Amino acid sequence: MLASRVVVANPSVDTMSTASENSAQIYLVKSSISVMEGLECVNHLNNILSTDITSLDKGMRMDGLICDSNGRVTDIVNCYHMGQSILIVGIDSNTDSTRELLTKGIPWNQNLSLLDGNGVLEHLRIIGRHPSSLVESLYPELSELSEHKYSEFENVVFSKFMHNEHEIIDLIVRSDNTDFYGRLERHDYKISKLEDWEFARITVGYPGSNEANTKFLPHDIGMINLISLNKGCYPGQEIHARLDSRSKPKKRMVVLATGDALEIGKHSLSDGNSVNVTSKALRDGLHLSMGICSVDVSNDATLVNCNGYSKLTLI
Amino acid sequence: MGILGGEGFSLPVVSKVDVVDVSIELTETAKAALSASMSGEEDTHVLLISAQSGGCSGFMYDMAIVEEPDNSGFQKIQFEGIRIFIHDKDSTMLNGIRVDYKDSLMGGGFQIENPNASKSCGCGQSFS
Repeated sequence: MLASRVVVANPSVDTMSTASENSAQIYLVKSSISVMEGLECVNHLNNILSTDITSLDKGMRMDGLICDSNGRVTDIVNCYHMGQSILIVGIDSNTDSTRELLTKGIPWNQNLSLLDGNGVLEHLRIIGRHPSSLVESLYPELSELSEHKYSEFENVVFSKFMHNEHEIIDLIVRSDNTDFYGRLERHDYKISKLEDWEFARITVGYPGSNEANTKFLPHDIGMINLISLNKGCYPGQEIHARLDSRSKPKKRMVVLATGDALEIGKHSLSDGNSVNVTSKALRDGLHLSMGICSVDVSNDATLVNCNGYSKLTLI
Repeated sequence: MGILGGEGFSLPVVSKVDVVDVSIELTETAKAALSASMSGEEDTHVLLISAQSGGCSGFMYDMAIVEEPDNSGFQKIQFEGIRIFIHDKDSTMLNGIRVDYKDSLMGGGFQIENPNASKSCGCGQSFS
């Protein structure tokens, strides 16, 4: 079968970039939510995370990776300093491994405890065109959000971050917050289903459980901005430092828009490379897949053995 | 009140780590080096071996001669007058370790071989 190029019959379903420009939507994200309490929790977390969070203070949010000793990503976490504790939001499928790491390494003479927020707290994410406008319409009283800081208003935690030049807004809300859910209803906002979140995260190239699962380096999944080579030792730091100083990353993340669903696994590309498809999702007839391939991949590469159209976007 | 506050609001504690009965090995050179380091304070001081998050492999060893800690969570192992304390929370990570001492100017000192470690850092202080 010949490699085929994307045929843009309807520009609205052209590529993932178009999909990300759709109106902002609120997605329910299945996340692992934990709370660490204790005076030394920032230092303890700093020993584990790939980023330097020693300056994390009340009202701030910082993100980081948890990696294994081989430098592979095992979780992506958002840390909110709540004053007496740190709210830690990670990928749901990594809950057990991350919590084991967090609790096992607590020094015997430090009074740190880890609490389970799953089910009680919910993680919502707003992605699409002008997500801030959605928040403004919902909470006109809320002041403008800025990166690395969060706002807490009526028991909802709001924070903003950028990923691949997409503005994303995170909300952490208690599942019993009737005022919040009442506001959504009054403004006629619906929370999208988990399957839709999968599509949305692929759209903006945000890794999920199939990418942060001990198989890939931060470089492979577009999370190099979450490693800090100046902070000193953290799990995986040796590997990351060696990649930085002695060699070049070999893989990168891509997003594929295709007419047909792709199987998870390896697929050949027209430029002689191959792509390892790790995640896939379907919405409005558009199949999107996330994959990892060689950094040498051509922007024009298309899938070989693909029945419909295919369009590859480098992340 | 805040998202984590309010009357009657509390989150469950994530279950504690497993605890096992610890046994460790101390080489003759390590015993001699420890006795020399304790210099007659064996009655009041103990060797405390612990593990905590850190290092490039995930966890780091810590060894210290300290006054006997006032904490009920320790397992106590005796080697000819030398008392070694390992906290329950570290028991699964440190069970079966062999503590050695190498008298060398380069890379000398106390060294820990850990059968539970799948990987160790080059410096020997960090393991996973």
